[in-house]
Order: sequence, then C-alpha cells, then structure tokens
Amino acid sequence: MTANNKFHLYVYEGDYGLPSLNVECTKCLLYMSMSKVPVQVKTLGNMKHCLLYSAPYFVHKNVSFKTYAETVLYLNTLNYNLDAQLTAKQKSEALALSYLVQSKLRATLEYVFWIDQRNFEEFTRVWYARALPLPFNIIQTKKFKENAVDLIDSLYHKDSTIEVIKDNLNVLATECLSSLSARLGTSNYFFGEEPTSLDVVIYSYLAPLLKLPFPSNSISTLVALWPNLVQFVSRIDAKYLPGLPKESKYIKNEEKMKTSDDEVSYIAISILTFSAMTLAFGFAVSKGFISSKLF
Amino acid sequence: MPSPLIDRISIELGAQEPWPKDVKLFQPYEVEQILLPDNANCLAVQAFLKMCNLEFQVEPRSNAEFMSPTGKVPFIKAGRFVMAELEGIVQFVNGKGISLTDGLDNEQKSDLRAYMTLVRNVIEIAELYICWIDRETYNEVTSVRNGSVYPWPLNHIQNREKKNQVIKKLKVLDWYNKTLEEVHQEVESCCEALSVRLDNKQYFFNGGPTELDALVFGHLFTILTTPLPRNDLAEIVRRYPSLINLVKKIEVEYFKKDSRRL
Repeated sequence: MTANNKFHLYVYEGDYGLPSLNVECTKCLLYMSMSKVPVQVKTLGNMKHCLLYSAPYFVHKNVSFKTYAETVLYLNTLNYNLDAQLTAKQKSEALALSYLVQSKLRATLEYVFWIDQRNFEEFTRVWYARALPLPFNIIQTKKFKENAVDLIDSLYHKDSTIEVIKDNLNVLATECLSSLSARLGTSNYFFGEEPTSLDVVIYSYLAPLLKLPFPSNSISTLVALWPNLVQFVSRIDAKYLPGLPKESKYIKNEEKMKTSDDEVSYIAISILTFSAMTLAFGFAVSKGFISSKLF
Repeated sequence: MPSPLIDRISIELGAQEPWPKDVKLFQPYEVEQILLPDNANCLAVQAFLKMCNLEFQVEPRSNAEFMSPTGKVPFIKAGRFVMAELEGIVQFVNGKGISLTDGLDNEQKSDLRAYMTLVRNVIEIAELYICWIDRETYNEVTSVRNGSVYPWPLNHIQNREKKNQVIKKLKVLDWYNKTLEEVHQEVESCCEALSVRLDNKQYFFNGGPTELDALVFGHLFTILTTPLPRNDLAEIVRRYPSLINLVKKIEVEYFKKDSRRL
C-alpha cells in the first residue's frame, strides 16, 4: 500500500477518556473503529495541521471530506458499512432516532460547552487554549462559540432569558434521554448485538455529558439517571475505544492550583509581607518619620 | 423544534379548567400572506385540535408572528392562556386530560417523538430552504407574500430581516451549503422512512390518529397543494402512495366541511 492509498483522519484531540472533544470528530473516529477502517489518526496539535485542515477532515487517495455524513457515504461505497444488515423498518427508525438525538442533545451540548458562562470560562476555553497552538486556539474558540450562540438564537425567541433557555433545554434533554433509555431497554446496542451508525451518533452525544468534568453540571449529570445509557457508553468504550486515558492532559495544573488555594502559600505571603514593609518604610521616610542620611 | 418556553405553572392552572368555548387560533392570512412552512404548521395544529374534537375559531392576523409568545405561528388563546406551536399546544391539551397518545407504551411514545423531530428537522427545513434560498421561489413567491402586508419601504426591510434569520438557522443546521439535489435527497429519505413506518396502515399507530399524523398531514398536504414555481417537493411526496392515502384520509375525515380541495 502506498502512502497515498492510506486513510487519514484529522481530528481535535481527545481527553478525559473521550476520543475527541469535538462531537463530529468523535463520530468519525468511532465509526471507523467499529467498521474496522485502517485509518491513521492525526490530531490538530501543531501549526501545520491547524493551518491546512479543519477537523474532522478525512483524506483517502485524492478525495477529502469535511463532515461526518459525507465521510460515511464515501466509506459505504468502499464496503465499510455498519448498517448493511438492517431492515428497511430499522433503517427508518434509525434515521428518526438520530434526528431526535441531534436536534435535542446538540443544543444541550452546545449550551453546556459554550454558552454556560462558568463552563466556558473555567473549562472549555482553558482546554482549547492549551490543546491548540496560539493563534488557532483563539480563532477556533471564537468560531465555536459564535456557532453555539447562533444555534441557540435560532431556536429561541430573542427575548427569552438564559434561565428560561436552560430550563427548556433541561426538559428537552430529559425527554430525549428517557426516550432513548426506553428504546434501548436491556439490549447491548440499539439494534440487537451489533453496533450500527445510530449507536455511533448516540454515543457521541452522550459521552461528553458523562465524562467531562464541567464546573457547573446541572444538565450534564442528567445522563447518570439512566443506568442503561451509562452502561451503553462504557460497553462501547471497552470494546471499540480501548486504552483511552481517563486522566486529563491539559487541565491538571489548574486543579493543582486550586488545591493549593486552601493551603498557605509561603511565597505569596513573603512577597506580600515584603511589599507591605517596603510601602510602610517608604512612606515613613518620605514623611520624615525616619531620617537617614542615605536619602 | 423549539418547544415554547412553557410556563409550567400556567399549564397546571389551566388543567383545572375545562376547554373554553372561545378558543382562537391565530395565524397569518392564508390567501395572500402565509408561507409554505407556516401554513404547514398551522394546518398541523388545526388537524390536531380537530382530532381531539376541540372547538376553535381561526383568526387571521397580519402580525400573528409578532403576537406569538415564541415568535412562531400558529398560537392559540384559550381563556387566559396563550400557547404556541404544535408541541406546546399538545402539552396544554394533555394538561386538560385530553390525549391522543394514552394507549401507547413508552417505546411507542419515543418512536412518536423521534418521527416528529424527523419531520420537523427535514421536511420543515427543506420547506424553508425552498422558500428562502431558492432564488426563483424567493423572488416570485416568498418576497411578494411575506412583504404583502407592509407598506413600501418596510416590506423590503422585513423581507431582508426574515431572510437573514432563516439563513442563520440553515447555517447552524448545516443546510445552507446544500445543493438543491441534496435537499431533495434528504426529503426523499425522510418520506421513505415515514412510508416504511406507516407500512400501509391507516395511521402511524394502531390506536388511531396522533399528533404525528397531524404533523405529517400538515406538511404533506401543504406541499401537495401549494402552487410554487418549483414543485419538485410535491413530486417527491407523490412517489409514496401510502403517505398520499394518509393525507387524503385525514382530509376527508376532519376537513371535509372546509372548502379546501386536494
């Protein structure tokens, strides 16, 4: 096989046991892992990749695709098809359910990632700032955030307040998750024992809510209420995405700093003491309380 | 999809009262103003209310869109309560103890929800695409009708404003960069899925009509009967005889007294 003949996939990096922090990238990665495509994964971690590609970006021979849907269509022509054994009725259900998940959970995810002030400032922005090289982290973060704001704007009346939106998203997510849980029941995957593209889509939307440690997580803890969905995610993790480190790569330092908040930092105390002393001394000298021939 | 920002208290309060006599359904003018997606949604709500045997009067207003609490038509005024869009109205009606989905189990209910989002996210978006992005349809139909209720300079401003809103929506849903063929493809796969689910039965679920039937009827009936410069959507729908049968059946059953004709 020549170098040109290989499959290449460019994605945003994963963390916290997620294949990628970007939902679309997760879908691509999981689909390829399930259908056993021999793909070479490259992360957008350096200047060159960030400049040339936007994730997810799939290259094979001389064709390239920028979205999950197009990539799957192309892979199907190469006989990498997860849905081949489904009946017409199951295909119809899969289409409907994937739209249900996308329309209800996508808005929720975008809200949790980008709109929620605390999550955005303390988690999402920090993570992307460290994962991507300098100009791109700012540009990409801005793009993602604008996209999320546009999505929420187009869904809700412009007068609605952030609390109302949050409440409503909560209701939508609960509805959607309980539907999924009822539909999954006790089976391993949504259509029996073999995974399909529907499982790919559902995993990609559930896993970030379950795994990422968002600072304000009223919505993201919802998934844990349905144990069969949690098992579904860990089943796929174990079988198709083994060996993903659970530890965080980028926000470790942040946590260390936080724990040191409670302890006494001796450096900080000595700097503060020193500057206070200097200030007091300087004041005394300038007012003439202490006279010295040196000044 | 955006189910209205429901005031849950008002639903609970409303539950104590019976269905009021003077319920009004507000929508834009059907003959000269209303657009394809709005018309579909209004018709879906009308069908749903008729399926529930609830009385209402249609009240056309040129500014219905701006009166609605969610910015979308149609909306109903029942006594002291104002509810917009099919999902909100369904919830409101369910709150009064009237429901079309009582006989369904949890799995069927999740099916119902899934297919409703399918229709909302494919057929409705495709309608928006045809109305606002397709140049011919926009120039000949959409801009004229949408602007018809405003005086001269305002009609152009309103058209542009609305168009920008729609473009923004299509962009975040990744539909803006689709070609017309891709849109047709999406609609076709959606119709295929619906007709497979319907499986030549009378309604989607055995227990009788549900809000899913109302929604499908609203959209498909409007697509079939609205004259547009492009009627490719109607042609796609016509390839699925079981869906046509459903539409005809609901029209005869619930709308035969009206003057509409398929």
